[in-house]
Amino acid sequence: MDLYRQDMIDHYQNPRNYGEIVDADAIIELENSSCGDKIKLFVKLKKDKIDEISFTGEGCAVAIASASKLTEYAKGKDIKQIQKLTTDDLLKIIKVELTISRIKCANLSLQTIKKSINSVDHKQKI
Amino acid sequence: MNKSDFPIFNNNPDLVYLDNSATTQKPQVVIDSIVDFYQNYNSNVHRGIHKLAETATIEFENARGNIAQFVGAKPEEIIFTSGTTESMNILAQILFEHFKDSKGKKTILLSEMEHHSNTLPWMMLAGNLGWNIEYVKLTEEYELNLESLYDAIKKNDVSILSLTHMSNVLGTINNLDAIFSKVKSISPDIFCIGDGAQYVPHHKIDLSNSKSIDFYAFSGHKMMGPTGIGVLYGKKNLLEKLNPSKVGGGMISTVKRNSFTTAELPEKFEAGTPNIAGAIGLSKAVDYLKRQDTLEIEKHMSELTRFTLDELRNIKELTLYGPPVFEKRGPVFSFSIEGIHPHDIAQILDQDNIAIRAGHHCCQILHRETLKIPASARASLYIYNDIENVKRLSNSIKKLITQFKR
Repeated sequence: MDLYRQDMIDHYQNPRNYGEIVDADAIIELENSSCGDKIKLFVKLKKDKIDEISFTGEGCAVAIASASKLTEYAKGKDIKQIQKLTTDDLLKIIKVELTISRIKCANLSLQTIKKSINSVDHKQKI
Repeated sequence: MNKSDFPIFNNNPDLVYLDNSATTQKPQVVIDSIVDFYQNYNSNVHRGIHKLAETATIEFENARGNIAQFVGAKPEEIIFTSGTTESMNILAQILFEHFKDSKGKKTILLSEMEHHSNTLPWMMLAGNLGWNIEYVKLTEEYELNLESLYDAIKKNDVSILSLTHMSNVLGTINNLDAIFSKVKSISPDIFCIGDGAQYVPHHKIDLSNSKSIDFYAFSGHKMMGPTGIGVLYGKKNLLEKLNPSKVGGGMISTVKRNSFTTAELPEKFEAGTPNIAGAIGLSKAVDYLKRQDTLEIEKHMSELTRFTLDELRNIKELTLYGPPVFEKRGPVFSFSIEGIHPHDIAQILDQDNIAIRAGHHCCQILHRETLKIPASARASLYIYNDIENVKRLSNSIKKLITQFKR
């Protein structure tokens, strides 16, 4: 499947859920040091569900489009379900096949989402 | 030079290989020489009495002599390393041994266009000695700001100056001989070091004629030799005075319970079994280069550089980095396109079988502070590339710009 088909470029150029959530429960930024991609994730929970989610950042089409598609997918989902997502699940959600060198681009948003959910979880337990 | 000398192009007929600053392809003669060593006379070098050891030693030392002659050095001034990175690390450690008991806070001067392998060893040395590190800025035309370089030298606290001979991102060629001569006329005791990783594959260098280059490093694999072999050159009188940082087998004269004396040059700096096959392979790559018509290759590369500059400049969406004048640069072309990430550029070109590189090319300081971009795409050419290759590159770039058009 062509990685750069129109819907990927569309999500890259018009990312969904792009922007900040002022009263977010967690804000986490992760960077891919090898290529400089950055994703900052904002998340607001309602009980065990993701109520609001958004992101800002810069990066390649794979990084941005996967953040866009993954945040779309995550909205309203149970946090346990998100925490269990694997890289293979992610590739199914964003519907692309990636070479080894590009999987890390897609994975950045998944790592950032998981980390932000964990940080809220952790806070609630305290 | 014939493209069919390189098996990789016979095995990948549609490949347009434009990642030569990272590594070059190998001609059959180089590959054969490595196989020949392992199949016919594999043995450790030096101090062997048997026939194989004798042959291996002769071939290994002939390789050193051949490589020395190619860069205008004496054989004993050629220390085999694994590549430029190891050369710079070893040199920094040797200079640590030299300076560790000296007094006063000195400065190591580098430039903003240095590769990490000519930055990090010096950062570590500066840290270990409690010294400063400073970077010469670049001009708007991506050349060294020589005025500020000489001003820094005049402050009289610089002990080490290490500069690239040709930038692996900008293609900028620095006239090290002239720069180092001027530096030494101001302050004669500065150690002047050249990073020749990108320069040596493209240009003839005569180190014996240079009174000002004290040390010089280059890699075999960027000039059609195998990976894992490179050179640290040092002026004989300096190498004789300095002590090794790496010790063990092969570098000693006598060993007692609590002390040792070192072997003569160059073994003194080559502890452990060297990369014998690598040295022999690099020597064959040097032979291959020597067999070429130098004038013809130079003409070919300068035409190719000029053509690529024109082709890429004609793409208005593309920002090209490096000196605008083709005579001042080597065939390395780093660029960015607004709204398309370099990784995406490289991936789409790969779909068209064009191999380029994307990233910071081991020059984060240059990208972040000078170019002010996180990464760039880079096409770099070598002697087997041609006008057709460059046309394929520019056509694919134009196509991907259309693909991303909003």
